[in-house]
Amino acid sequence: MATLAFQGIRKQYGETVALDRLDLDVADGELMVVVGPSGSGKTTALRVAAGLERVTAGAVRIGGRDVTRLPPVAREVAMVFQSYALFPHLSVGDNIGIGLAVRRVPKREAAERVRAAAELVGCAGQLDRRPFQLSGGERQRVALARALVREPAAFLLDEPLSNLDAQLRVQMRAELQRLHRRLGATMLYVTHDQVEALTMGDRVAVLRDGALQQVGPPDEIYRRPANRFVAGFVGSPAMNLLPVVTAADGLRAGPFPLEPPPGSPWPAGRRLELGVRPEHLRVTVDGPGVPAEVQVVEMAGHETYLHLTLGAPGHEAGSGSGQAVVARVGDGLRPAVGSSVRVELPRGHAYLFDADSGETLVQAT
Amino acid sequence: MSTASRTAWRHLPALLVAVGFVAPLVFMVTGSLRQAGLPPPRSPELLPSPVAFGNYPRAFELVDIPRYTLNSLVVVAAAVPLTVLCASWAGFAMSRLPRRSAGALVAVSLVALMVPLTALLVSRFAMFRILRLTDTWWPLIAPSLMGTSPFYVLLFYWSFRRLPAELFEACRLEGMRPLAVWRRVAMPLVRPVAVAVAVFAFVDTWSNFLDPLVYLFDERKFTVPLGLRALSTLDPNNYPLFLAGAVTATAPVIGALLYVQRFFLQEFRGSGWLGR
Amino acid sequence: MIRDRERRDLAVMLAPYLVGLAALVVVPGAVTFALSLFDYDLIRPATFAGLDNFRELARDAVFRTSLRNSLHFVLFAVPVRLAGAVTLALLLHRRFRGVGAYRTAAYLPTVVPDVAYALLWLWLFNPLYGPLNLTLGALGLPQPPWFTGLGATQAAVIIMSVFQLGEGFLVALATRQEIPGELYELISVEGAGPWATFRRITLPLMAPTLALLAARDVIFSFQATFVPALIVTGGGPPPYATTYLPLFIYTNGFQYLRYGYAAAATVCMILVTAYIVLLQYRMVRRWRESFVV
Repeated sequence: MATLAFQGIRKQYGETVALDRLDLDVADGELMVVVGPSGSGKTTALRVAAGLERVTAGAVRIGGRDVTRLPPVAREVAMVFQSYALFPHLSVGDNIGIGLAVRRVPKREAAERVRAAAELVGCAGQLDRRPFQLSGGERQRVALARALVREPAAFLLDEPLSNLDAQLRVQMRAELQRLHRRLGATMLYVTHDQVEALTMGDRVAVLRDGALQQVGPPDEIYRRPANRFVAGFVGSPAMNLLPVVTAADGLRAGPFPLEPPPGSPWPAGRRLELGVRPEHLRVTVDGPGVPAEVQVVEMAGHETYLHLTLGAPGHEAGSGSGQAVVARVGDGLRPAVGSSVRVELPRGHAYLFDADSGETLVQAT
Repeated sequence: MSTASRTAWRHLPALLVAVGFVAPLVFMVTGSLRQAGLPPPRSPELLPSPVAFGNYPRAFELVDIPRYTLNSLVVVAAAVPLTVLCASWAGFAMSRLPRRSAGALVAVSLVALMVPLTALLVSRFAMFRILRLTDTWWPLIAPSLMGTSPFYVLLFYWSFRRLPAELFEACRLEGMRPLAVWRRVAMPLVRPVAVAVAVFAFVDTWSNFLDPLVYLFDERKFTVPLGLRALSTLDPNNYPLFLAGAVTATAPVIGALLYVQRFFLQEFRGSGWLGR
Repeated sequence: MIRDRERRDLAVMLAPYLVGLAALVVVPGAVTFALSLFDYDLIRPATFAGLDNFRELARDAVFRTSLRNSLHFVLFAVPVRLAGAVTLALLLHRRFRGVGAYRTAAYLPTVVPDVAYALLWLWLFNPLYGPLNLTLGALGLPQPPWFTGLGATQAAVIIMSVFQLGEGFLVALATRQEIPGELYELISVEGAGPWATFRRITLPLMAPTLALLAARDVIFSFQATFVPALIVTGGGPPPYATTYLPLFIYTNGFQYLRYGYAAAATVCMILVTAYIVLLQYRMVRRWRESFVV
């Protein structure tokens, strides 16, 4: 296993910039998840690491060695493709061992290594079958085994779970993590699913439009987002965002009055946005807080999400009403659609963003 | 309309058409079974009476059909594998090239397809004459270098292009060089196309009349079509005789078609005639 | 870098094809054009003749007749073959039981070797005792004088070529099958009958491929007449009723040993073919622009 580093990577296709000066270090044995929306450059970054794309500028280092000019096979990386890329005409065993056959590894040794890899992922009983006879999850295991048998310095995984159904995805997430721990492997894992990112990664790197937004452990990404984009991208349902306006009695975000945190003045001269996560809004039927009307009730098992419109039904103008927020409530509260509830924004759970740059000015505590 | 009559309505024209197309071939066979030397028929007859198979051995006596068949087989044995190899190599290489280069080669191939063979006849002959290769089989085998026809190259190109790109990327990651990729992955996945090209190349080479006519002078080197023509000039009015020769020349090719037709004429799916 | 090694491998794989194309198509093509300006009989060295060959062609009545015959053939054979191919495709595109056999049957004559095919028709068309005329006679229909009558002989060659429309049939079939079924469902809901459906959906969507097919067929038809003319009609009935351009070229080149002259005739054939294809292209483009969906 080895470290993997992107140094100043820039990738340009004609006029389009896919990656803009990416600097990212993956530690030895770390599972780094690169997450972002479509077009963020995450797949490009992976393919650059693999050697399937040439860089416009910058360097890729694996184990300290500069591999930027080297073709994929010389970099000692293994890749698991989104579509698994299994050879339809070969058996599972031949699929796994294809690299060994190309390198003319003696048959007995090759068979042994294939069997070992297959057992690690749990498909040892299927070595004689063909890909078309396997289910999606089984095919994915074969793709993993093929990567394993190469004994690479780093694993590159391109959205490996996105072709699986929801339940299988949860199962495979756990298995991948188990595999990672067992092997102590350096893994670069690309996904658009932020749940996968938060649950699986040792560290998470968030990309947007080819630029790195933030790198850190999942907890840090979730609780201390560097900017509005990261805050809104991570967490489901997404963070509520309310513009901050100057009212007669001070600053308000929607109907919520704002108090400056102790000891620091408001950042002057900037437009601001307030962010609060759904789980931090306190909703009661007739407790403290501002009134809100229930628009949609989503029941998700043990949690319920309420889509609310702030302000009493009938809208009093000027009170910052009419804005939509989503709140997460526990089991007990099941208001009817159209009914009125009260929403409170407790102290210390709000984020303050610069409305123009998106930068996080004040983190929640 | 009832189901029965709708079926009939659908089948009848198709049946008539099929009969119309097969009829000449049927007549070819039945005509060859007529006893030679009898006065010509006065009325149309489907099957002559008496049925005589004697024309076949007679044809074999008059011209050296076994030898010509052997010659044709030798040419075919050289030309067909060479065609499949060169056409699939070229098609594969084109499919791995960047889009623009591949596009240029496709355009060149299409233009080459349009060039009439007659236009090249005289010049090719002059070229082979200068190389002293006339009266040999080399001019007959040479077109296999370009896959016999640019069309077969294009056929392979389109087939390889249809394979998922990630498959080839996986090959690159495993360190496979293009030839290994062609051998281990690409060709096994286009087997029906390769078989079809082999069969079409067989038909083209076997039936080729113009090139043997122009290049071969020594009767012992004749291929079957040329031998058939010789037979027909020996006894121009003895039609059962030369029909027997025609049947002998045609049978292998019909057999090849019947074998390959299930890839192209039955298995038509909406994805085009390369669908599997 | 290994990427260069990859590129070298690909170059090696392309080499036979490119070498073959150059040696067997490009160079001979260029040589044909060059040869047309020379007198050459393969024994004595070539002598430059400038445009003399072409001037002689213009005066050559046999050449003019051959050209006229070839044009006449192409004018009749190509539309009939194309229409036949499309009709067959429309008839046999659905997948019903036995359709494979019918398709194979339609393709069968195409596969027969040229010589055998020609000899077969030599007999079928025999005016006195060939099955065709005997059957016509038995039905009380007139028996055309194949091989002796001018028009009848030319018609015979056309009929021979029409039976071999298998390749066009395959292409038309594939094209028809690629038209999504939803379009037909849509237009049937609108209440269109078979002719309207054909005119509005089938024909426009098949047109690009058919245009290509027509172009290729024109080129092909100019030379398809060689074997029939050589073996079946012998170029007759006299004088030269079925002597087409390929036969003319072959005779002048390989029998009279006038290779330069034959090359000049070839150049004329290429120019005529190219012109017809160009006309076709213009026609199709104009038709497509006038077609408003």
